[in-house]
Amino acid sequence: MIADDRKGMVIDMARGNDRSKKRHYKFSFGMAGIYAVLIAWALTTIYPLFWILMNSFKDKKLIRSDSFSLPVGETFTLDNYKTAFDRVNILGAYRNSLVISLSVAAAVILLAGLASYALVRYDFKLKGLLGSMVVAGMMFPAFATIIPVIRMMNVIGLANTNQIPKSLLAVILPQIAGNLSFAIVVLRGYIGGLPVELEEAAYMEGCNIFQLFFKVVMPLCKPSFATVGIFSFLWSYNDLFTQSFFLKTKPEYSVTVLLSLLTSQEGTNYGLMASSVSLIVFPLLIVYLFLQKYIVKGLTAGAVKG
Amino acid sequence: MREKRAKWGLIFCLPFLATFLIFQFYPILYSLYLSFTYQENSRTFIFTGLDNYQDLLHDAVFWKSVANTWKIWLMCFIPQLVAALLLAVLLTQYRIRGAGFFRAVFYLPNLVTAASVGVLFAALFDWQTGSVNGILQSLGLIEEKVNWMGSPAFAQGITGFIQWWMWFGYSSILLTAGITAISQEIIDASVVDGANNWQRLYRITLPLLKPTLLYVLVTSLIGGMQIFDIPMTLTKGDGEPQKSLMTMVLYLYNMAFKNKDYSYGATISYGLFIIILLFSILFFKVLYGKKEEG
Repeated sequence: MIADDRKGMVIDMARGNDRSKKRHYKFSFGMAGIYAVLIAWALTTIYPLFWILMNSFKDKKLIRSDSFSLPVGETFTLDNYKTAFDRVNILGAYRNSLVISLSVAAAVILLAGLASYALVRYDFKLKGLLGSMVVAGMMFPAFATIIPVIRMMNVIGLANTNQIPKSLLAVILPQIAGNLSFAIVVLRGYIGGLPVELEEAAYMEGCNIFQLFFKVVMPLCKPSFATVGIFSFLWSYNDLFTQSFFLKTKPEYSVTVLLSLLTSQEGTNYGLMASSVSLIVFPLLIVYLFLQKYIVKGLTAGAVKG
Repeated sequence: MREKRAKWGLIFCLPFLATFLIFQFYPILYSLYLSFTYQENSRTFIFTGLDNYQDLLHDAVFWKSVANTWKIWLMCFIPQLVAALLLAVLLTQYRIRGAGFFRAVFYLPNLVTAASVGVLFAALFDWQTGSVNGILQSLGLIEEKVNWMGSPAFAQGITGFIQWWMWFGYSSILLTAGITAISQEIIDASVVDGANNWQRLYRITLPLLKPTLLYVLVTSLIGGMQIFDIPMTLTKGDGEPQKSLMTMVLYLYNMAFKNKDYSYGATISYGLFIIILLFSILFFKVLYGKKEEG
């Protein structure tokens, strides 16, 4: 099922648009001009990324003298990648980032799912109040809460310990809080659209509340859970602000913290910078290719429904 | 059964309630309290009323950071809106082969970790070895190499440009969705009535796009006022040259992280909070206020 979806998507991407509508393509000089603009524009977003990848395979001296030539033949080298792995500990940073962002995404999917389900299907005291809290939660930016959170983490002993698991947890907890409200808003909409008869039937068959949620609701809302998971992951992964307060020593660095400090710690070693950026950017882009559908959907979820 | 369900409903919401209260609601109130105190040492805070806010009003660095943030945001937002509208109209009004591919490519920079975008552009604009100077020299547009990141105006312009590069695709996806949501019947009716492409854009698309435009404007404002990652990466956190990249959140970061002055840091965060709130309401009123009269 999922594999089919992906195939369909790749076909869609290749064809360019909706499969449902048949389109007639006309050729004219005006259209050629529009294509020229679009292609040139697309190059400006692709080229910087291509440039960094290309230079990551060149010697740092060569980057200084000629950053446009292709790394072919003798100029091709993997030295920058060796340095990235040996000296900068990029694997450690990757591990930290993945632990943080996967935990955040998993927790947000589960907790926001349960809360949305309760808010849609159950009647209970405080329901109205909880609804307002969800809205309020979306409006509290990280910068306005960070200072008390730092103090709190100091008091409960999660910050400044030099212990990696504790420092990671100090980032994970506030990030979960920061993502839950958005996730509940998205999921509430989708769960609300499910016909209640399905759950009633499952209840009659003897499903308990957890089975209803995990075996009926979650599978039916898979795409929206995927959207929420992907976005929580991306926001957590790309966040520099919260992470820079809690990940202070080299073994604790995440990829974003590592990158933000790379220029001050490694000077102008552009070879190393290029290989580090490539190692961090390209896996993400490959994943994007496969998950593009959910991402575009998540982006527009808030805007059009308003 | 009803009572049982009521019990579970609350239990399912407890994790959200707990994280909200502990990591959002309590901190935002505690920030407010801290902003009314003077920090004697890392543990002792003395209540001093509005002193910090008075300091903030006379703090030249704070006002500079406000001005910097606005400059960078405007340099990013105005071109971004123009570009996003242009792309959205091109990709919806014309039948473009590969429209999905173009959309995906335009959104690409938004996905890339901001810190790595910072490193990338720092390398491109490096004045001694960077490629931008190389290109301009080889094209004969400049004779001497330009020290981009040494000049406040260029540094802000480059930061605005980076933000533009990262966000125009996002805005264009939102606007495309907004345009697609406009009922085909209205468009057909306008075509029957003899509207040409331009009239259609000005009379139909843009007015009906207002809710989406407002959403793009307000989310961009909220995000833009909080710009941190790019100036942090480009300047190692110090906001140089001549504090031209010292944005509000970067100032807050320096105050809280480097100076460990939590009281004044909290005051800055409330200053920023008020600015964001005021302008969000203002933009909302300007775009929606007239509707009720007319």
